[in-house]
Amino acid sequence: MTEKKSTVLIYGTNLGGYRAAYALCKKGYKTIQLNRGSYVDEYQNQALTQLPFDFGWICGHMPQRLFKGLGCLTDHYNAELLEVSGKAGNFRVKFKKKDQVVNNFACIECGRCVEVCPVTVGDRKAMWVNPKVGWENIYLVDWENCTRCGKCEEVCPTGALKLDRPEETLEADVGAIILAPEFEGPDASDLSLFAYGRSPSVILNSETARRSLLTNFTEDSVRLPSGKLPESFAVVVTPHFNKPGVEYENYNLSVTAVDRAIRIRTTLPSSKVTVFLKDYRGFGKNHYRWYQRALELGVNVVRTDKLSVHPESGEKATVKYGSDGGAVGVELVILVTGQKSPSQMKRLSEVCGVKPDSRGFCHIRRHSSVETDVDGILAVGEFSGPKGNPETIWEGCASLTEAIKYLGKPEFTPPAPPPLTSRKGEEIKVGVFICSCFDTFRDKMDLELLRTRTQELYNVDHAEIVRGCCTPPTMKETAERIKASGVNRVVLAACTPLQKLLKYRNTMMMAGLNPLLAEFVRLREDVIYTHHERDKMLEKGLSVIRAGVARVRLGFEAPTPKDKFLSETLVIGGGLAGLSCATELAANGFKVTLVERRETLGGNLAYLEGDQREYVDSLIEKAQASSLITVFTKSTVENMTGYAGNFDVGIETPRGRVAVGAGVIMIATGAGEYETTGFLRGADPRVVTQAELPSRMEKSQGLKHVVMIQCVGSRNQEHRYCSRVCCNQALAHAVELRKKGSEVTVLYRDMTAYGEDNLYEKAVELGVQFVRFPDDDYPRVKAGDGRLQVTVNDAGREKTLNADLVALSTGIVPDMRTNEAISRVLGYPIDADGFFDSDANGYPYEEAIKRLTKPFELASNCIFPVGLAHSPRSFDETLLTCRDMVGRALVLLGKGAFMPPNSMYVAEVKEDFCVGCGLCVDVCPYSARVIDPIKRVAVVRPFLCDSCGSCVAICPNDASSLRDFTGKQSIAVLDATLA
Amino acid sequence: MPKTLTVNRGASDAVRALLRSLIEGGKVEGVFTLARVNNKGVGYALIRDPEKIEQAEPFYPWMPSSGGKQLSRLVSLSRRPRPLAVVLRPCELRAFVELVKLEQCRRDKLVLISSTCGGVYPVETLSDGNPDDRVPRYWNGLKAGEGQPDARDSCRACKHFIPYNADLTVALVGCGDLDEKCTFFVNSEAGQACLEGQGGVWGQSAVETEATEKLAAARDAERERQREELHLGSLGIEGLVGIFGKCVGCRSCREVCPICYCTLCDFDSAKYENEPAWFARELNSRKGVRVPPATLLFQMGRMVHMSVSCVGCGMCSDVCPVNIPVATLFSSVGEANQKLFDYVPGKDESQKPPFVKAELNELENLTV
Amino acid sequence: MDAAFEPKLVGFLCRWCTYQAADLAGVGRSRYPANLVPIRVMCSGRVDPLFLVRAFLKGADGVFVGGCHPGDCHYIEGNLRARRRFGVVQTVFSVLGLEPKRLRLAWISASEGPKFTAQMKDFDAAVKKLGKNTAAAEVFL
Repeated sequence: MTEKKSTVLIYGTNLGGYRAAYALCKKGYKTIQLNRGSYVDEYQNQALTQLPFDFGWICGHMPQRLFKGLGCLTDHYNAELLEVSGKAGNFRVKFKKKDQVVNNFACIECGRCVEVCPVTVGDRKAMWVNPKVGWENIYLVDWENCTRCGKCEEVCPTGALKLDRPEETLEADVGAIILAPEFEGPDASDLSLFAYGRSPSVILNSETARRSLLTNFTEDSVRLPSGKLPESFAVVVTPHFNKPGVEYENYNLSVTAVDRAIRIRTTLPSSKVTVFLKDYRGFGKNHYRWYQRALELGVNVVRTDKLSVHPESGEKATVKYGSDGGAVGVELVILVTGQKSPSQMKRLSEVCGVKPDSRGFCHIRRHSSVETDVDGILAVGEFSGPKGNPETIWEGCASLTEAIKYLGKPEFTPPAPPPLTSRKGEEIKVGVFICSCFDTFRDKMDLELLRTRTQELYNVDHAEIVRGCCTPPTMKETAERIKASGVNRVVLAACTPLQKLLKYRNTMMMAGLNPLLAEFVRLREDVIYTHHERDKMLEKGLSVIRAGVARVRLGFEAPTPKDKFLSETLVIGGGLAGLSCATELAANGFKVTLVERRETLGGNLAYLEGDQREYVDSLIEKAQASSLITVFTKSTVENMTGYAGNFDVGIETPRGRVAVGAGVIMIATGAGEYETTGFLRGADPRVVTQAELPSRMEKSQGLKHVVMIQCVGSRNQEHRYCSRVCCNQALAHAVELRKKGSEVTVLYRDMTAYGEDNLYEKAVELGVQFVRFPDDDYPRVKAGDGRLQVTVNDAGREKTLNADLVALSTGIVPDMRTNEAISRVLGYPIDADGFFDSDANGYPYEEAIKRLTKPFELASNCIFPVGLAHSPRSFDETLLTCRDMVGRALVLLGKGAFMPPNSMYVAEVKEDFCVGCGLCVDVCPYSARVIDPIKRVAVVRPFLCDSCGSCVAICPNDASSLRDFTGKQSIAVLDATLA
Repeated sequence: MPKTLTVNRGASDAVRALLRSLIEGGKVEGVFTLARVNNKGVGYALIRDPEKIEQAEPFYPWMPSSGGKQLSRLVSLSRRPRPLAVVLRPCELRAFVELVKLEQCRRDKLVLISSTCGGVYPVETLSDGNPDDRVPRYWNGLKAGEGQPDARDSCRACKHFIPYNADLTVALVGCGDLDEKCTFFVNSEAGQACLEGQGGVWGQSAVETEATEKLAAARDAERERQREELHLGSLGIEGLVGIFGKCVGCRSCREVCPICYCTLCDFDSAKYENEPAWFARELNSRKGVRVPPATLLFQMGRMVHMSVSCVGCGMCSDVCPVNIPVATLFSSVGEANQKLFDYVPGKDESQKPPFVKAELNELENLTV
Repeated sequence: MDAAFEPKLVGFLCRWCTYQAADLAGVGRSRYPANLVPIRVMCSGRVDPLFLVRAFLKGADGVFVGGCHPGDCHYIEGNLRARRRFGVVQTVFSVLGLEPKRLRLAWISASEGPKFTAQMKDFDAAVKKLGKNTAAAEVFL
């Protein structure tokens, strides 16, 4: 048998694809990413297109740049996948690609190419910078107007610009393929019902989002073409009213709509905003709260079945809705649009055999999260269905979990850093090195004068100008110059240290110098590019250099701390989520301790339907058979000491206390069903829950009329969230009952139906009756003569229904006692609803994207809530959270030891000064600090420290310090700046 | 309304008798209280000997140092097997609670006894002539529910003179019969346990009376007056230099401050050492340097660090050798900052200091 | 107002948002007054309130703190804590009759290059209106 390959091909640049690349690289798998566009995010992902929050996308790209720099990730532009042969573990892929005209990884953004370009097109040149992508500098050629004079290529100092890039066809051997094509929204012809394109007063929400990209939401985001600010707004969720099959809705559209309304109301307080939708289908964490906030802010929410938009003369439009002639005139209609099925589907299915689902999205295997019908080919993000951002990101991580079985051993290890020479004991000698950026800075500033004046500054022993410091040859050159100058502290005045930090640090290390002895000041963005008065530029340049000198004079060398990381995992809870985590981890060779408080594994078996039971049974079998999984039943976690990577956990078992060590803890404690005595539940056997309904349906004779009541124990004062699964479950049962001939009436507030099965439409088609009741007026159930009587407030009129059976759609509720106990033991927070806090807890949910994409698995302190412990979700959705968290754990486990995320740049404690007040422990975002119980001083857990310095700022006497931002340094820097 | 126990003894005697019975009954290991030292002045002491209790002066109208701070040093973080009884003034008690929050000491196994407080005289008056001459005047004032015109500035302006976290509160302000009778207000089970077996009449009433309200109003007015006198709000650099220009840099204000809990102060650290290069720059820019330097930085630094926890005890003004009204400034800044976070230092032990928490939607007018 | 007055400004910019917005402003070749010298910090939560006091007493005519928008902090709540501390310093300034407007806290996200430029102009103009910080020439501080 041929050996399995360990490289992974990622086709497309949706968020899931980026996340997958990140997780795979971090685990040590090389990845190749194909971008169909000519620059980053030319094809926009769902987050960029639909996100209610208007923000740039810088953070999301940092990990990609990092791994690209390290050589683990290769990306290709203008790329297309041509052929896939072989099979899982050993694919041969053929793809074409054409490099960017300006390789933006090598471009130094000097702008010379734009300056020399002789062709003017409107307010720009034929060589121009795309303003739409704020997070990278995209130099583009307008080929229509370019004369190919070649001047730009001539002046490019780094050779990053080449006008003629050949199209190449490459082949590669890969173990797995991840398909991650981008988002496609509806076009004008799909939105004709909403007058889109026919009125200046109708725009897409994504357009307002894009207008706000570099500024956040402001008045200008909604200004009309004439410059007038609208006073009346309609926000329309179009998939709720559009023809079937045109656009699909993901669950964040409803919340996007109310979020937009909230933003308008808060930015323009006198505005009138109406949101039109069929149902409020926000069922993510905190979504219902967000809806309530909109109501509090005076947003008008109109639910209707039918809607159309009609242009009026000038900047006005009318929204007509409902069947009773409802109409509202507004100045601006914002359309919150859905997603179309991917146009890539057909081609990709031809190239690699993946199959579409009934709606045209890529089909995912049953009970898998990202595996397509072809072994070794996975699909993530919007390609496999409309979904929210958290799910997309989770799928990225989950693809590590699900791909790993097809892959060979990880091959990539980052290159070892160059050896450092200790400069301890030497007299401090500061050298200032001014980068000329391939002499381009000289165009704008007299660097020679700056150098002479720098040389005259206090405490500067040496000053010189270097050619460059960010390309491999110039890094080497600069390192040599540093060595030759004999200095032991370096200030490098160059361009932004944010993107080039690793290169700068590497340059220092190549000179044998610990980077803690160097400071990188931003000459380019702070001085050269933003000012033009020469004397002021010189003064400001000297100020930033002086500050750098002050900092490095107080810099001290210190090694990178390391700490061990146990490769065992503790899983709390032996239901579906816990079993799934345990078996996936064991499949990768990691030991797992599984703790279950009941006598048997399996969890809430009573709620499983169809083949779900078999699936859980097979997991139980696997867990029991695995030599790597130790199961403790009738056991509970009683105490925990230690910290991420090094937990010591005490488990109370029937045979006494057992102590286990763990690097990672998964909380899979599940949740329960809401129990009520309302609606005659418990008093009358004809009132059942949805979970009990299937067994009643078997003998459906006599069930002439079944009434279902939704939102029992959900979205009310007591439980301010949507339980997510009840609507789909009720609809499935309603459809089945209709097929058997029963009448069915569903009493509801909002039908949060979603997913491929289109159950809502089916139910309507089959004649299931729907009656909406008001939020605060639940139906009442009475035992009448023979039949049950259900009274419901139907649009203000009392209506009484006779029913043979009432099915209550009872919500999912957290087991508060268990959750609180575990939260206490683990020191892990629970959210306002009683579920465990998570990285997707942002408010609203989708805003959590920055937390979600954070390149720092340790951010949750290696405690990962999964499944229902995290929030209400279905069977397969539970599995997704498990695979996501297992993916994150896999990145960490097995490494044995860990460095801090910022290597030597960590916080420290001066023990003599520390009085153990614990303020730093309270403010540390990552629990990287703890008070030593014996010494009564704070100690730092190095690899949890992400160098923010909150601990330093709160410490009243500077006992806490950050190695490169010590109090003394900061004061010196401040003084030097102001000198 | 809390339960009360009224005994037929003067207030100081009643407390002494209670402390004595607590020791003799083995309910506490010792008592922490102000006590006479060789019949000259008072100091805090931790006492076990029942006879020595006679020297206790729980309500002697001077505060030689903040009892809250002193107590925190005794009852650090290690567990004590047996309780102590403690008599503190309300501001001292608040300081103690702040220190508990800052993990400098433990609250458990303490019986905290406090009183409605008429204030104290400045420390310097302890050694000025015969301090005991002031005592009868003080008690008469208490009976009438009035403060003393020569009490500490801070005391005359204090509005928190009813204790917050005491197990037992002794009513003093406005109690005309406090030479003959003493009423204990029971605020906790521990307080109740202390009084078990004590003779007296049980009842129930509120510690707040017309007299305490009247005193509060008088103090509010006085506080305003003091602030106006200082021209706070329009001081500016010039005004501040006028006030702090005479500071000798002795750091006494910090040493006696119950909230300054660091053992080594930031301002004594090498961070603020001044190199020749620094002097050179200062001479270049402002053409002169005050010596000792950075007084204002020290004072403003302390305001930034601890004003949210300032209990307004007034120790700092008391010990200032050059009579800078440190306490008035600090408590004014403190009150403004405490208002910002709706925080009363020492009131609620479970309320974390404002610096450690933060809310998403607050203080939105601070930013642009 | 002295027309020739060029205020001396210092800014503490968070590495994840505002410092990055300044990057963007730079790369976009935005022009703004050169009076503010930035100091990079990892998080606005690293800004010790004493920095503000020290800068003011050293003679800075204005001190700027830039961080991520609430909810966006790379370190979750560092910016919110920074806001609390900033509030304390401003209160100290108001009570003492100093000019709290010389201190400014702004949320500027990484992508808000234009907002950064606008803030630089605006703060510069606001401080110009206030005039020189008298602490700069005061010896007996």
